[in-house]
Amino acid sequence: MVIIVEKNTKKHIFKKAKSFEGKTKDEKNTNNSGKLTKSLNRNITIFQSSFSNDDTVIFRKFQNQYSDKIKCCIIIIEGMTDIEHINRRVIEPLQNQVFQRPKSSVNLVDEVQNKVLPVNDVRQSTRLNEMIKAVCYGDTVLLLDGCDVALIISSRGWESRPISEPESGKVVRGPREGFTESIIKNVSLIRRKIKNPNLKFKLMELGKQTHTAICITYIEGIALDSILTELEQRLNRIDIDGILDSGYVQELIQDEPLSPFPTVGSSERPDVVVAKMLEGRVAIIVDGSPFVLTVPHILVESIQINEDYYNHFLFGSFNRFLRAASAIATISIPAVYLAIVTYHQEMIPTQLLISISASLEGVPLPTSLSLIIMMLIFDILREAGTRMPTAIGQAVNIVGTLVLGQAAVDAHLVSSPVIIVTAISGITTFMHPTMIESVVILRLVLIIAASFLGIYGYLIGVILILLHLLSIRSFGVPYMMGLTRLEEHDGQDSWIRAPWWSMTLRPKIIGARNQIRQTSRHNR
Amino acid sequence: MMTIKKSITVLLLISMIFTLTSCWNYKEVNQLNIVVGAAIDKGESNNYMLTVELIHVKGNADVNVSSEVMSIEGDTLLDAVRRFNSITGKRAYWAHIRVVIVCEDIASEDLSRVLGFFVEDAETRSDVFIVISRECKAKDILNADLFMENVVAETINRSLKNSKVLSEFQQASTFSVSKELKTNKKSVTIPTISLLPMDDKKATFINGTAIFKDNKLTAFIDGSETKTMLFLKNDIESGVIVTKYNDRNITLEILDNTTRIKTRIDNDVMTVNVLVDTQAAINEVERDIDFSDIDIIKDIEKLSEIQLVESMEGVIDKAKHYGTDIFGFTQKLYENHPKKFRQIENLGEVEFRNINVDISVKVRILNSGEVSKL
Repeated sequence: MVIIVEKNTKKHIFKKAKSFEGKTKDEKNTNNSGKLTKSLNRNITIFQSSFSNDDTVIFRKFQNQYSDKIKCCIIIIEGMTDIEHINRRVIEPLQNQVFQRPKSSVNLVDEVQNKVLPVNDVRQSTRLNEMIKAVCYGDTVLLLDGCDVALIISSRGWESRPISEPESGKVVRGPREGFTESIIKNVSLIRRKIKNPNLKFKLMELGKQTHTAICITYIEGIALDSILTELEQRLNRIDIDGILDSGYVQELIQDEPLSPFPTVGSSERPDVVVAKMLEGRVAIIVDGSPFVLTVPHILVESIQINEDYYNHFLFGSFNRFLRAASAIATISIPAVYLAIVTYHQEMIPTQLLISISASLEGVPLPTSLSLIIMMLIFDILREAGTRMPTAIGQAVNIVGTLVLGQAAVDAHLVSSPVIIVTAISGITTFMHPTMIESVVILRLVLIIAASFLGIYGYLIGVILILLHLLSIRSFGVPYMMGLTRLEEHDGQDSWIRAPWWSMTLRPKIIGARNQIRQTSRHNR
Repeated sequence: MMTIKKSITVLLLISMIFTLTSCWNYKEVNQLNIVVGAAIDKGESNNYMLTVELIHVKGNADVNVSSEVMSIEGDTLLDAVRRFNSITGKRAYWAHIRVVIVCEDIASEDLSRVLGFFVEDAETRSDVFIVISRECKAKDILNADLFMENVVAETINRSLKNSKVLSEFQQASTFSVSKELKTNKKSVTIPTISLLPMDDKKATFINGTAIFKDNKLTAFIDGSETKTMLFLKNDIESGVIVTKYNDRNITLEILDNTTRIKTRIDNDVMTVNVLVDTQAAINEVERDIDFSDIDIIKDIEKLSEIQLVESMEGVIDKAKHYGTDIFGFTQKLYENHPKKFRQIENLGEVEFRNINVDISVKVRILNSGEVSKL
């Protein structure tokens, strides 16, 4: 894999993050007065006590070759800093340039900042906390002898993954780039698609220990203020120690914490996120996670795939219909099969009943139990398959297909229709990967309901699910929006994907601030 | 407080649903004996002898379907039905029954008594075909030899479904029969089934119709009479008319038939006008006939018209003889002139034989049939 080193070019976006107060309370227990002294050695000791037991912090002392009086020390953390940059732009000019020590110490700092360092992002600081934090972020602190003011030089640079095609949501047609773990790259990926000053990025920091950078991005004039303020309020309420993935944020800000349905969307693809922002949604980029969150997230987004919009609209609509049908099929087929076979045999055509009856001959387990077990085994295989390295994953596949598909039927452990039902339900699960989490649970619930009450139980389950879906909201937007009404423009991008020339309006509520997407046909 | 009350109410309402699940229950398919056919005869010691054809499934991957026939006696049908469990072990499952065969002895006593089980029971379908066994026991039909099939009831079911091709019998379901038994304005007709010897085997053969009056079997009519009856009922979709022309048999294939019935009540005299309009094609001739001669075609049309009218009059006379209105003319009169009909009804019993029936038949030969196939 190609490893590239991020250059310290656009580091200014992090400066704002530092002004975000209130999250740094626990730093007060560091034993210092919070101020620097005029003595370089004393200052170094202060820093060393702050970074005690941390061997990755480098204290590099040097002096100017023309003037012994100018003694300096830089403090950096190995691996977080662009060493080459510091060597060439900080150490080299300070060592080799001829410059005079001004009379007052404060002027020395100004002199160095203004005349010596060929670096774009340098600032002065007197607060120790700020300096320690800067070192933790990968910036360089430059201490000068005789000065109680230090310079913070932006020098962040660490190894990160290059932009590559994401594993999830593969496309045949469409952009192949995906978000990475680096927030700067992710921001630039979005910025590259919307070249417009209305595109706004708001930075904040979450996680009392991790200080993870979070970026709220939206298009001003399209995104609703109410959603934006609500989102900011919810983010400010977060008081967790660490954010390791956007999944943390997703769960902490979502509307219905107990619902199996996701009310915050996530995508690994910039084109998907930008498309949602163009409809009025707000995106949240979390440093360290290639999954960018979008709010509000409604049910219909689970069957919308970016490729729908890039292909012919008929093909896109057909695929979307398949996805919607399989979403229903995947949670219904096992339950309906179970209900009909064990309660409502009169509904089965006689020929089919006979073959089902034959396949059940000698099978010891009742249909309900064998169906639940097979569904669980399928979920085990799915879960095992996702975590396995590719090479072992194939072994899992073989075991899955041979042992469960063939041998189980031959050994009369399960009947073949149960295998078929499991397989259909399993395959249709993958038609809408974002819904897997909710589908797996609901499917089992419906199977259990059907095993107690037949079709009746299945229908009770479906009604309860529908009631739940109709009652929840995501950031004030009804979760079923677009699916329940088929008025003009309402159903254009739900069950079908209407041609682009006819989609003149943005979705309701989400895009309410600026409803008109294109005027050409709207005005005619 | 309100929300707690509300949620308790909703919970109670939901829990009530569980008590309303009717009488079905969890049952595994392989624990069921699928009944496909039933035959009802008079029992020797009890009232009824019920014979059922059960599907016998063997094999897991290669499904091997055959059927088994067994009989048991009981005071009532349900009594006999439940007794099967003690023989076969598995529960008999009646939802997939295809055909009910009633022996003519029982049919001539009271048909509605045996129909009760099939119409009222929750498990049996109401659209099961019903046939009357003629000149043999109903149980013998289920024991008939099989040709190219392995389930007797399925064979009968298919023949009944294809009844339109031949038009010599008309399918009847338990539901329609039990419904029609309740009215006195139309006689119930049920197809008859008998055994047809073929070499040393015996095949099932559906042909002709059993006619009921007041729940009792009163008469039989044969296949060709049934076809004539279907002409009068406007139930012909396909079929053949064999007519003679200069001692040569000519077969006309019926392409389309419309029978219109016009009713009239003048001075307590009920008249039914039957207008039959048949479109046919010449399908099979014994010797060459010049079809290009329009006069010959006209002659054939005339001959077949006369033949049809004669046969219709014959069937109507037969029906009048038994006093059974199998054509539904009385019903039609009542529908068209309810007031006048009631007046006559109040004077006394409306007799089918008092209804005048005028028949006019028009046969149109559209083509020689050489390009028209089924």
